[in-house]
Amino acid sequence: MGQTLSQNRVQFIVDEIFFEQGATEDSSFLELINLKVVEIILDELENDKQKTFVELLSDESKNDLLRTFVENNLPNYKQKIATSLDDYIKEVKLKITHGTT
Amino acid sequence: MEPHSPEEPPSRRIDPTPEDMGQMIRVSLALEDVRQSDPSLLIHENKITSQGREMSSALFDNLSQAYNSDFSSMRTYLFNELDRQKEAFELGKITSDQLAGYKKIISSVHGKIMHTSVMAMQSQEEGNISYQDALKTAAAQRKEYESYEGYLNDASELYTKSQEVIASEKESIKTRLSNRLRKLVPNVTFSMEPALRLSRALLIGASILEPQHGPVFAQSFSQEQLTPPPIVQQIMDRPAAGISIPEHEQAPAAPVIETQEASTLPSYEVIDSGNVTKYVSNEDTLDSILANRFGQKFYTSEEVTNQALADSVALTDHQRDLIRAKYICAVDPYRTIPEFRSRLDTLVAELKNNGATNEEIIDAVKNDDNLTQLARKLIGRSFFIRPLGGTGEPTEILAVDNWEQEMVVVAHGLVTPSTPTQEAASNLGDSFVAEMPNHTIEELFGVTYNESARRYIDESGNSVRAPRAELLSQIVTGSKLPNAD
Repeated sequence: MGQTLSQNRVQFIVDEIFFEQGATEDSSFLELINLKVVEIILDELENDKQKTFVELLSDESKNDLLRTFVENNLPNYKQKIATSLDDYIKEVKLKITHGTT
Repeated sequence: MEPHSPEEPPSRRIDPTPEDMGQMIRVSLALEDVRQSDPSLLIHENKITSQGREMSSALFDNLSQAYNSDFSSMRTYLFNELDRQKEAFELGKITSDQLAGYKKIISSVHGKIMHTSVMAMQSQEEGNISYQDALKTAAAQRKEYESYEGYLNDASELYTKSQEVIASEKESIKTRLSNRLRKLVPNVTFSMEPALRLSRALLIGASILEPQHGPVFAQSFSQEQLTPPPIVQQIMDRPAAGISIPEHEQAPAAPVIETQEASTLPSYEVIDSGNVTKYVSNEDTLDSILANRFGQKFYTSEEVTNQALADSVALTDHQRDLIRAKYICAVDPYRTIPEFRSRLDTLVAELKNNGATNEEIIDAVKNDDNLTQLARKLIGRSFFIRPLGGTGEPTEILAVDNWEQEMVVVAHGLVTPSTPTQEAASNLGDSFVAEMPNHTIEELFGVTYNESARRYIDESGNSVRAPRAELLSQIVTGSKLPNAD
């Protein structure tokens, strides 16, 4: 397959088929995204906030506090997650397409 | 049917003429017959396995040739194929999985054909062009569609590759996170669960449902003009496993939806990448839609219920009441509106101190303007109360407003906030609600979602997008839901 596929075609498949039809049904991909969200938040938080974040993250009874904490310390976290995830998904796509041509 | 072997010459591809397209429409109707003969064809039709893709391609070729011959042979061919596979299953020659796979393939092929024919009709309707021109346009699209078909096998291999990449990425992130987390909190043990919980808290949290925040993700992706739908939005719309709802967000007496495993969740079709318009299959019930949208135990939250009800413009009264009846009944103004509780407690206490009878208490509550206004704040309408079962027992009072047609509001503990009261309220809620979750979208809204056409179709077979289909989209995505207040 790989020998005859143009980059455009690979990109088409990855975009149209895999990421449209496959990835969002894929628990493995969802896990990856969930992990990445943790990393993104950790990256964005100031150093002295990170410990509290991890403690809240580790306590399943503190979901509400966790959200409040992130909202208070990263007011624009939604945009940051969106942007970072966007970039990251592009990276993953590149790794997939790069590995097949 | 056997997949084509590599030695076989390539199957003849279609070069559709307008006549072919007319034939195609008839074929699609024949396939619709097949489809209707076995409703299970509708299920999971997007989930074609890689093997199924090969078979689909081969079957599609055969069908192409068949409908170039004549309509009746086409129809016969399809029914025979389906019967043959069913017989093979009954004889134990193929497994149930294989039979299911075959059904998926039939359905997939139907989708391809239906897609083209509907597209032609749609082009004619929307583009003010002749039907012949519409057919030509659709034929061009069809050729594109066929080339898409040609990609499927390659896609299968790419999918395998993608799994490797994803697994590798996951391990990398896990390692990095484990190291970082351990440095911050030495005793912490990293697992997937906290990551899922974080996503849940941040992405599914109530605040993100606010309209001013909702489109953020979509904008982020649409700016880049990504062809696929916003992936983050899709993830956002999925419930994460193992997430607990904070206790204060739970109404104790409300019915609780069963937790669904991710693998059993209905598959959604995302149509508009910019708009994040989601569609649901006909099998989806309001329960499953809202469960997916808001997560489990969704209807114990006043805010979420308000979100579901919010777009009054798009809802007819009947539709609104159906949803309200289903979801509002679990909303307890006594617990969710502090002013309501305070006013009710004060009123009842005063009445009791003054020696009022149960009936007098009920009348007083029923006619209390403050309570009515507070309830209206929650449900948008007035309410009155009546004894459960008409027995007049004050400890089992429920606030009901013409509930058989309108809504139910459960007011726990009107006189004695005891367990029996809560159970009684819950029971009524359950018995009433029990009717609703089993209703399909088609039953509730009178529209049928045609998967392959990617359209809702009304009773007359016309393509419907607004307002009813749009309503569903808005409920599912929450993208256009204003605050209820």
